[in-house]
Amino acid sequence: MLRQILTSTLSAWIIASIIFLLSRSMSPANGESLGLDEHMPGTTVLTPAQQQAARQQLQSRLGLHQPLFYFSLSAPTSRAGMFLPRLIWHGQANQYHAWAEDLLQGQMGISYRNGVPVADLLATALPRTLLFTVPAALAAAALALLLAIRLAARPWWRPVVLHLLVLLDSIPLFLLALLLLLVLANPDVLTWFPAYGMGDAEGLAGWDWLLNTAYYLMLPMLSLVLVTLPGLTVQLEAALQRELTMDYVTTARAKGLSIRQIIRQHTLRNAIFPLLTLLADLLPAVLAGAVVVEVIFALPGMGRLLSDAATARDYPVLLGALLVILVARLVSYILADAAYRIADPRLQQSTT
Amino acid sequence: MTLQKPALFWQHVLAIGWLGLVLVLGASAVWLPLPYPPATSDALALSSPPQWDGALSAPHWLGTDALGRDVLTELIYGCRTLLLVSLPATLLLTAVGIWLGSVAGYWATTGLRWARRYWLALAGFLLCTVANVPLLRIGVGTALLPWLLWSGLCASLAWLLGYSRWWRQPGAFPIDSLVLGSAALLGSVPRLVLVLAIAAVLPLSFISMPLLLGLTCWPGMMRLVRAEVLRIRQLPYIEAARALGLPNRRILARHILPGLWPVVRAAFPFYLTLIVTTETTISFLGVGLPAETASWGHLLSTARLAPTNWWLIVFPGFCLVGTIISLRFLAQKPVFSVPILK
Repeated sequence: MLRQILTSTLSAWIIASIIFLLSRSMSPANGESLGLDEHMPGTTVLTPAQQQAARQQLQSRLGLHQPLFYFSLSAPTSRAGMFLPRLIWHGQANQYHAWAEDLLQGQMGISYRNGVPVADLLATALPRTLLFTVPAALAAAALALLLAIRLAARPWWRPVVLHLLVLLDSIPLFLLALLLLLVLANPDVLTWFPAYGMGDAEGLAGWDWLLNTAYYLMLPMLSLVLVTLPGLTVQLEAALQRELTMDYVTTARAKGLSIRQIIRQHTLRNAIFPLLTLLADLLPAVLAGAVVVEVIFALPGMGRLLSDAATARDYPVLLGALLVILVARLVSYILADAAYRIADPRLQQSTT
Repeated sequence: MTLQKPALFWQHVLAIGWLGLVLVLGASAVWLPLPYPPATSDALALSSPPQWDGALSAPHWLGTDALGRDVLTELIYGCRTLLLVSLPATLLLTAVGIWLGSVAGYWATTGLRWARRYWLALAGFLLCTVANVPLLRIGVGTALLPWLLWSGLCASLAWLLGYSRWWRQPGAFPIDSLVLGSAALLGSVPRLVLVLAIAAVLPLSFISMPLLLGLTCWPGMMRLVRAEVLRIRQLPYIEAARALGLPNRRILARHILPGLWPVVRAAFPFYLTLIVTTETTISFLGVGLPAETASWGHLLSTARLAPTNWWLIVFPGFCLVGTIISLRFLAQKPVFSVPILK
């Protein structure tokens, strides 16, 4: 348990560091794509010296004037050390160290684009995303459970539903969301739902606010649920079918229990283990899905932030959003581990 | 075996036929007599619906998008992008997956055993390679000469150490945990987010895009191959081969690799669907390939500008879903028949 948390934290740190170093080494160090072009319309023409000064000012404001990492290698200077690359040690005055130190204190830098601290951006965006991703994940899990229990009893509509699920599973999320938009929020076909936005919820409170928000978030939630449902259902159903071949099921049948009783009270607990692993991946997967959904439905959340940062090369925001997703994964792993312990008493006894 | 039912047979024929069509169209896209060239806009027909009458000299059979690009042309060139990006990416991830998976699985219990002097030389070689990479920015000449010198030094060091007994003895390297660890590292971020983040940092082209997709999506294939190698390794004929004194490399290449074929054959179409989905999604988000290259994802992203233009969603969407479903069929796993209650 502790070991798993440590390794996950370590790997999250390594990934974040790699992306940080890549982004900084590729970043426009001379300030050209930071809005300091030679001939910007509407500004006075700067002399080269002024441009240089402005660039330096910008670089020192963004902390780009320092060396990137603890050490750097450069070509040998003297003829004597010709075959030895020169190693320069920079000490703690480097970009990586500053970034890591800020991060540990909870500061994630300033957005390149609009100068807002990244932590503020994330703090406003994250609740909006969680507002529809968490209900979507819960709804998908609950629906999958219900559907799989019904399917495992082999009703006549089982093949039809399975075929539909496979079809649904092969539609990518962004296409599914577009199709929903085309059918359910189109003045030519059906206008049941609004096509974009979160609605104007300023003066509303209590039930009105909830209903309004649910009305606007229904399509995004629906697309996330539909895209995660098939995998979960098919896996759980297959696990239930495997359990139903076991001997204890035959015994239960011989005792005279109905198939539904057996499924609910005997096999479900054993079959749910593969689902727990899938559920641990559900929260990060839904957060990743939010990237697509928020872009399509124009919702101002985490995913939108991430994809905008990716298209605009706004690296501090990109890294911040990435870190949030890494943390979400860590949290969901810990939750899944706890769920394992509750579902399987054997694990509790073996570790304590 | 799987082709017993006539319905299944026809589904198979349809799947193969569709994929063949995509393949042929993609391969011959450059020579097809299309009425409109790709990535050029027809200013007279902005977001026009599909038209079949011969009023125009060259009608837009499947309509145009909001920028006046012909949907049919973009679709066919999208097939070409599919062949040039998704297929190489999947081949790369399969190669990496097989290589790492078989090495990790074969030496899972013992670790990769090799004489200590070779390990030392390898470590030195890697160190000098890594140290010389930043010098490439200054000039190839300044980097190449020291690199050759230091590599030569490492090789001669290994040869010299051959006289010492201790350095000739084998040392075990836990290659399995290294491979599994790097797979876990890649798996710690959702695939789409990882690809999105790296695509934002690196400029993407027809060469770097397959590389990026292939090098980030291999863990699944590696796990499958590794599990299969672990299973095959226990079989008696491998024991017999080892008793005959065959070298490990020969056992791996001649006796284990052929046994991996069924697993790889079933997994390849599945991973191709994953890659196709990822590629179209990041193109849809506007981060992937440059905007002027045709991709089904780009075509679908133009539908965002005009959500009521159904032809921008239906035709590329049909192509995408058709391709994915056909590939799932080829995976030949029991996709449509879940295990039966006995």
